[in-house]
Amino acid sequence: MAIIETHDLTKEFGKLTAVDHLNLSIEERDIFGFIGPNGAGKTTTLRILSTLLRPTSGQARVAGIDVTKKPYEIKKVVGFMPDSFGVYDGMRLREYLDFFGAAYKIPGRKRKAIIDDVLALTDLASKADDFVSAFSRGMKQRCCLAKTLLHDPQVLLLDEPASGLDPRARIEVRELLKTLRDMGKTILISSHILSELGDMCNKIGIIEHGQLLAHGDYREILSGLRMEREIRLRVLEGADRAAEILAETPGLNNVDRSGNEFHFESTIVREALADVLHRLIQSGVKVLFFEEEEGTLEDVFLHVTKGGI
Amino acid sequence: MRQIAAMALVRRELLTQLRRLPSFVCLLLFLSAAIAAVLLAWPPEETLLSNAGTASNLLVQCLAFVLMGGCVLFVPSIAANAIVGEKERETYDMLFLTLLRPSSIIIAKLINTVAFFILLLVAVLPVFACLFFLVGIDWGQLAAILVLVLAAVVTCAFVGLLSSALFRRTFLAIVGAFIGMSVVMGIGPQFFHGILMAIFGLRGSGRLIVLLAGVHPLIAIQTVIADGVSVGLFLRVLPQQLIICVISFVALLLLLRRPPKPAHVDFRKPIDDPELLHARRRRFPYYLIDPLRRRPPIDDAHNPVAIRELRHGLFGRETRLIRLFYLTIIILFGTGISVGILQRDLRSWMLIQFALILVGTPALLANTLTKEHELGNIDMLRMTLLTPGQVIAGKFVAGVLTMAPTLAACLVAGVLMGFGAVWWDDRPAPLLIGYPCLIVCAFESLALTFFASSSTRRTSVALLASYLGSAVLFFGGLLVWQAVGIVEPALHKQDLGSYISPVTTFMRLAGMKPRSLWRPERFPVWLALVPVLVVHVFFGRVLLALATQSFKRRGVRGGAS
Repeated sequence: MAIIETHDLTKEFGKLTAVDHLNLSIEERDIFGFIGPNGAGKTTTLRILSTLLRPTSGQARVAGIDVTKKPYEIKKVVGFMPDSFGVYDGMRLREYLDFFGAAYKIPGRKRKAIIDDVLALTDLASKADDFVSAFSRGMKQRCCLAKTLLHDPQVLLLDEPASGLDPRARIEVRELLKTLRDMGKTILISSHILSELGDMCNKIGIIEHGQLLAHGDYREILSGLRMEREIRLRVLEGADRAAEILAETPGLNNVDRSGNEFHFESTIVREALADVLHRLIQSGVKVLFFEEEEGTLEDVFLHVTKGGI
Repeated sequence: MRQIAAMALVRRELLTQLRRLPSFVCLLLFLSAAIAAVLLAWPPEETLLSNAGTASNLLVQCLAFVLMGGCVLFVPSIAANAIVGEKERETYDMLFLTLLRPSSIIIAKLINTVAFFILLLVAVLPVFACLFFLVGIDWGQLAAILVLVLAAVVTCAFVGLLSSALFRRTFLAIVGAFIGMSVVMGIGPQFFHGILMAIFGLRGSGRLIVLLAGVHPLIAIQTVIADGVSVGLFLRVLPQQLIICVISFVALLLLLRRPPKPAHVDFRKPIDDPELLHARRRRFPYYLIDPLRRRPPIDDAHNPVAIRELRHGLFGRETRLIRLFYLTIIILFGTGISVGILQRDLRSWMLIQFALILVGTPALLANTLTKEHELGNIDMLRMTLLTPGQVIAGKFVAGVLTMAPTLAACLVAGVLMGFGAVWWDDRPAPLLIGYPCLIVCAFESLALTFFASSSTRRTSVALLASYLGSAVLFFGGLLVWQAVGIVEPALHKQDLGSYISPVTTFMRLAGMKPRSLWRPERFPVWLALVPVLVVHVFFGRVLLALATQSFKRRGVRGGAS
């Protein structure tokens, strides 16, 4: 069942069309990576879904609720973490979370326990009495995430949650998101750090100039968009024979040999590739490994998007 | 090379400043105000024919006052934003790392501030040119007026820049600039005069008044118009301005030479030990508010925004509110003794309180909603389950309580002054009429400030809009009535224009003889107060509703543009 749906969602700022007839469908418990170059319309989409912006036309529904018709209900089910945010001066972390807890109408008797839980989840329990304005960037990100989780939202909309963080903080945020995924949250995350998205997301959407260029299962997109497969072959014996077979087979290009190791591109289907392996073994070549090199999200991103602003 | 770099900074500053819409709006408003002032003061035709010189003097004086008003209103706010704006945008570090010397930065910022005012001045020159044909003023006087205005502009700009370098927040820098400018240009000489009179009993000391008031550019302009240009006048006024500029420049150099300070980090933990807390509460100022006391969770029945504002806003800043209360009391008693008691002028003393409220309310509360934009908290606040009405209500409650000490200080001083007036066999009518007007004025000013704050994203713009709005709201009606009076003199004679705002109503009623106020056989004039106050309370309520609507609309309209 789709928990986030948009139908012909469009947002125009004067002459600029930030989101152009966007059709998106995200299933419950998905971790959806929203990828696109700067100015592609990612933040605008997230802001529309979180009721902070009104779309020019089209529809958007979160948990079956129309974002323009029932914004108050949307706020109950959505937790939004903006890409840039500030913190209040002169507030300690516990006071900060208490304020947002009260603003999310969490009853006072439950609030303390919930705050303790989110502090533990975000690993900020030891900082509860510190002033939030004194936090480092990474701690502020976690503090904002703690605030976002206070009202236990079904859907998390995270806009660049790991931007500007050092490697350790990024890993911590990534682990935290995995924990949240295990807790059953649906997460829509926009990020530029594609390698990390690939590690976390089961689905991705690629957006450019406000239009969705590709979206669906991460692995399917990865394999579907690549025209050529890169294959690595390593043999123990019979390297010369292997070189001959590879040269004879049509559809195998750019064969690069380095001792007993081969690297080549293939435009033939997978069944034909299996036949090549079969022939190699039948010819007495001792194959150590024969594997398809997995593409990365960077490859897909560069392949799908055109660049330019 | 450095000079070229400095010029680059000047170019950047001028480009970014002059191409903004607010600059054009300021220019338009200023020119309109100048033309309106001249039109309102335009004498009847017979006066023009018989005594063109006096009429011309009056009109030039009017225009000069408008110029000084523009200087007082625009220059400190522009200058105060100059350096602190770089800090808030986090570009100050980059500027500090360039090869620009601090003096180049100061001069570039100064040129930028003064250039904007020169633009205003150039826009007003055609109006001056029109008055020149009335033959009441010569070239020398005109040049002297412009020099005096420019000197005041440069002084205000220096004071504003100094405040901008001192603080890390635009809001504080603007408030600091206005306070500094008030001391240097406005109330300073008069205030010290009052204190000296109170201490040494120098009542009516003409020489002292001349000495202290003579250094004020506005008085100097009046003298130029009335008595002509004299070297002595410039020797009296300009050195004072020059000294302020030099002191500010040196202080600015020292401040800008130091590497930018990181934000103050408070590592103190809350105190849970009741005995320690009890011991601290015996000390000033912790007997009222102890910032290290652990705050209880926000009660379900309370508005979280109000509680947050009270605990962590002005109330939470340790001693500031308490100090503000004492400062207000001191100012009111200082002026009360000099103006109210020694000069037996309760009306003027009440007007000081009006000025305090009308100046203080925007200064304290203009950032109430803009700070949410500036700190980057607005999206998170809007994503909560609080309605715009609740947010505004919470901020309003906190705003009322923030202004309460100032208002309370006014009332306490008023009660004491009332007893004093009775003791000295004076009538406390100005106080009885004044305080209801003052309370309504405070409410309306608060509502107006909220509306300005919710309609913009910048504190400096909100502050400027609040002051302009206050000028229109509290004095615009009277000016419009005067304008109508020019067209229709019969209407002008009825003097209804004074009863449009609480301030002008107070000025009118308090200026009457007590017998006229309470005359039993006719309609008691003081009853005119009631509809005026009711209308203005209603108008204040409308402004609050508009503030809520504006906050709500901006919530869904915001974003990239």
